[in-house]
Amino acid sequence: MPFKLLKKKFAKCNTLARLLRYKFAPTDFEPLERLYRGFRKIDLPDQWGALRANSFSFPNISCNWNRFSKPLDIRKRAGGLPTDGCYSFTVEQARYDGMVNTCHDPTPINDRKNYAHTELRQLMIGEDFSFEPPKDRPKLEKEKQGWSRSKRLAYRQYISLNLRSEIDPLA
Amino acid sequence: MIELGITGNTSYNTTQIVKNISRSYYDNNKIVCVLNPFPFQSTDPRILDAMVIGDIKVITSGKGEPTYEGLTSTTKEASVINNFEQRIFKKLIFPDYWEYEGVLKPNLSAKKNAYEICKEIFKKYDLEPDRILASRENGIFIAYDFVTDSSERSLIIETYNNLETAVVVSDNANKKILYSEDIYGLNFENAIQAFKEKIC
Repeated sequence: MPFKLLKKKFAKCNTLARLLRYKFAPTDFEPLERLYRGFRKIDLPDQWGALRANSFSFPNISCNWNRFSKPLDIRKRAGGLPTDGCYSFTVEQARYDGMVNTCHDPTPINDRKNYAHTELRQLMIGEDFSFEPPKDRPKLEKEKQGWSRSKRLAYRQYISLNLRSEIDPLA
Repeated sequence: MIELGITGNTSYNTTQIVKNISRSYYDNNKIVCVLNPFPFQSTDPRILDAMVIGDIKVITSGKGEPTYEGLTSTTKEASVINNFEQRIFKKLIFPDYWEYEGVLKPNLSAKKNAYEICKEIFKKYDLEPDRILASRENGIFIAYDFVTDSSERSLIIETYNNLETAVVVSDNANKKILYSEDIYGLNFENAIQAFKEKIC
């Protein structure tokens, strides 16, 4: 059996997948699985209330996949603080309107290893959820078959309406 | 007590007046307002909150003090506009750590554009923004909320450093996006209509 197929078989066990640093395809994400993201108190309007669409960017944002992490792990991410809060949304919500796909992107071991690291990468019109957009794909402007400003804002507002707060930020 | 009769344009400006006066009633298409006494003796209508707007005439009854015609702003209107100005140009919070992530602070053009948008929407539709915030998309985020017993909607406007503007209307109770549009100029007619439309 070729090594790739063998790896895929092992990947059904989360512990083995982690050990082998198996990289999942976008189609391996279940619609109701959750993606965790960190935030700080200063992201809240007037430092109270709920997160608003102004605190999200579109696209190319990093998350942690709940299959391999817990909300508290967000504090250990690169650039994270022990006071950070965490919110989450589902894979299905992240794929709102076919604008973005979830791409598993384990960070290298010698960097700051994070096996759960997942990126939301922009899809172009016509690309479906089986397609994995390249890493660091630049923001595509409307003229280059990207999404209009209002579509991007709608996406961010949709996420802000549907997110769930997991941990409140301490600062 | 000072009794005043106000005549003239009965558009939203008049509503503004009624809102800011302690008691009022209609008499022969005139709005008659009864105001509480002020701590100092003056019958100058300009000292009264929102008494003089646009082409509205303010006629004092009683001691025959001046009638004002064609004044362009009121203390109420000026204070609301001043409030936007402060929130956009002086009080806008930009989290430091966004800068490390490559987010650009809103530039002066975006701020001026945001100010013009707030002013236009206030003058035309009598709406004041509930939130004015910096946006992670390099611009300014302006939000209006509309809450009734049956619905809860938000009108979100973002204006960016490159002067593009986008608008979205969302149904917050049902977590849905109702309307989105790229805006050219200051034409918010369709977005406001979607925002204020009643849910059947």
